[in-house]
Amino acid sequence: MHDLYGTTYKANIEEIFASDSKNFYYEYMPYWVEASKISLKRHGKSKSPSRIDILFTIIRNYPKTKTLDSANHKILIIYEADKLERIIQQALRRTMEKYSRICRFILVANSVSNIIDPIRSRCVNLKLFPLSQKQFLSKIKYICESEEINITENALKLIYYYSNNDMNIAINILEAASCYKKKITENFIYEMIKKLEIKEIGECLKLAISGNIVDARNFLRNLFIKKSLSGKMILKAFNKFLMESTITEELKKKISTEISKFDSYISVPSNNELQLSFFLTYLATLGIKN
Amino acid sequence: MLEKELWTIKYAPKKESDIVGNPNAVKVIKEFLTKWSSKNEIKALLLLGPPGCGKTSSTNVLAKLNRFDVIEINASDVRNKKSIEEKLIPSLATRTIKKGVNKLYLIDEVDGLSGNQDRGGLSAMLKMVKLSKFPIIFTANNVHDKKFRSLRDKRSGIKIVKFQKIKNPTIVKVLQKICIAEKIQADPKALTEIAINVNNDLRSAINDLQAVCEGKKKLTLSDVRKIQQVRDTEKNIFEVLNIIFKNKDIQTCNRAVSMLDIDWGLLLHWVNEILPYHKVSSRTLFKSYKALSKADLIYNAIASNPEKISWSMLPYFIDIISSGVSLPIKNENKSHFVQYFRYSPSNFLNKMYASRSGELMNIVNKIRKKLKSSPEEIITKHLPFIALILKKRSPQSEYLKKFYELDRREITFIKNII
Repeated sequence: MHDLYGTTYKANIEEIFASDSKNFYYEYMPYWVEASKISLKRHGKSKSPSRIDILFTIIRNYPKTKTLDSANHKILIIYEADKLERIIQQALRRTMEKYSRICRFILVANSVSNIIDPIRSRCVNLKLFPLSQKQFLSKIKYICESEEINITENALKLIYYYSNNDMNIAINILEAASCYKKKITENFIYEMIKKLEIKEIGECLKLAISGNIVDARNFLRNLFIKKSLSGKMILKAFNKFLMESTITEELKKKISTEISKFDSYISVPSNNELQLSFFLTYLATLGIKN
Repeated sequence: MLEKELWTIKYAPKKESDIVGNPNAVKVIKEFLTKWSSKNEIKALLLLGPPGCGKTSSTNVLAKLNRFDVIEINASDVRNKKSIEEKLIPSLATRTIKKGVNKLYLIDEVDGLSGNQDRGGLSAMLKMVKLSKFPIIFTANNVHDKKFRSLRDKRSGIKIVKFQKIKNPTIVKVLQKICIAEKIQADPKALTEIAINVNNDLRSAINDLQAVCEGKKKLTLSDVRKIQQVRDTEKNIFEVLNIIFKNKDIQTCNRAVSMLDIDWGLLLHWVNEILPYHKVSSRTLFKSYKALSKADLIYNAIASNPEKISWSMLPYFIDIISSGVSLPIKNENKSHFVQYFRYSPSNFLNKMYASRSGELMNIVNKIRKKLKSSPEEIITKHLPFIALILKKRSPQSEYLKKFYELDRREITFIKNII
């Protein structure tokens, strides 16, 4: 995009995140808030615009205005489009066609299943695959060379496995490690990973398995409050911890099917803390020793 | 130790001598009932007084002693003009079937008449007084309400009886009697503390006593002190929790939940808060949580999309939360007792709210200005590493501070994340 638009990038491109809260718009996109206030007033409502109101206004109004600096098209980029509500996707559907002369859309999503069919049919579907190990490592090596970081081959591989094919994590851990040491070895990366581990997860699960639900729940609440993790992240971490622990294979299978069930409870609107406490009581019933 | 009945009902006065306080007012009521004839000039009484001073219970006792059947109409019934004219006024013409038993209408909580729903209720009631061949007793709390001007009018045939607050020593005496009957060794100081705490309200004093004594044979001052802070604001929720977890009758539980005047979501938080404190087997706890989880899902399905999923789902929610959650615990025959007033979800909820809306989201939004990714990704994939970098003094960390425009407070906050 930067290559295409150069200096007129900011004028012709608007980016929105579907999962943004109302507060974010109020703080960083005040012009859209004002616009939605005006459009609400026109309909005879004088409430302060909600997140959905603002998104509606953006989708309806942005494509209608002219391009600036004689660019061919304006572009509206919607990240996390799979998290858009159905009603907004329906609103998008018409504007996408109607104003295609002026404005083009780029939707970015993790999975295509949550995007409604009419929108999918109006888009070119580009599927991006995860990088192969070779591409991944060559990119990291390129960064290391340009930043003059000394790193061993084994350390590189460890970063690859730890980051689970996610470039963000890989670059971040590389950057963090380079602050501490000039020469990065495998052992040092291990140390870093250990520092990042969340200790409460293990404690919480151990307490729950031994049947002490009250204390386990206190740890769980700390995860919510102090680490500010979401329910999904915590459940993921639980799953990882349990799968790597020393319990029998049969139990692992049983637990992982159960975890999938809890994941579905969390995915729909619900009280995450309550559902995860329920998961802890489930662990207590298994009667695992150690 | 399953207490089936609330002590306020169990120890309600049964004889005239059981009634405490307000001897003059009681005398007036007694005279009114014993000398009743439909030709009397005074056809109705209006009992005015603060809550918990014995208006309703003394009426009930005296009516029973004087062979009156009490027909009670309280705030839970609709009391607008139409329903009174259609239902109550026709019944004024009939007698009871039992021989020698008269009828007494007790219209409770008149100041609870709401302006909209109970439109014209008061004037219909005045009409009822004029037509009536049976005694009528009104009760109300607020003495100075403008609404009662018409009731106070002398021509209306209503006599006003004022009830005074019950004094603390009297409350202590009643509490002592109950303690003796329940075989509880109580510190007199503790009982005085309860009495001071409740603001001359005998009913809530007895309720407090029951809550504090749950599963105990001894009562000390420190036990009472614990209840003090929460009493005022969260009185109703304790009563409801007590009923949900102690009463075996499903109907009673249902009614208690549907009468509760707080948000249903908050009730979910409360039940979630106290559930693990029950000392039961993990299997039982699992079953209870299973029901609670279902209730939560139903509630959130309704609340998040009230237009599509109609509120007709609400009865299922009430059924589950009132009896489904507590049934496994009640069925396990072990004795258990939880002192609900010790626990409150408000602490956790406040912290949760602060962490979601406060410092962290500010920081995330600041980083969002520079990095293109969602808040969730920033919390998991970027913040821990930024914290790692900031912890070590290096040119890189100095650069990051400037790049994200972080101030000192935010930096210490980020460092504390890992």
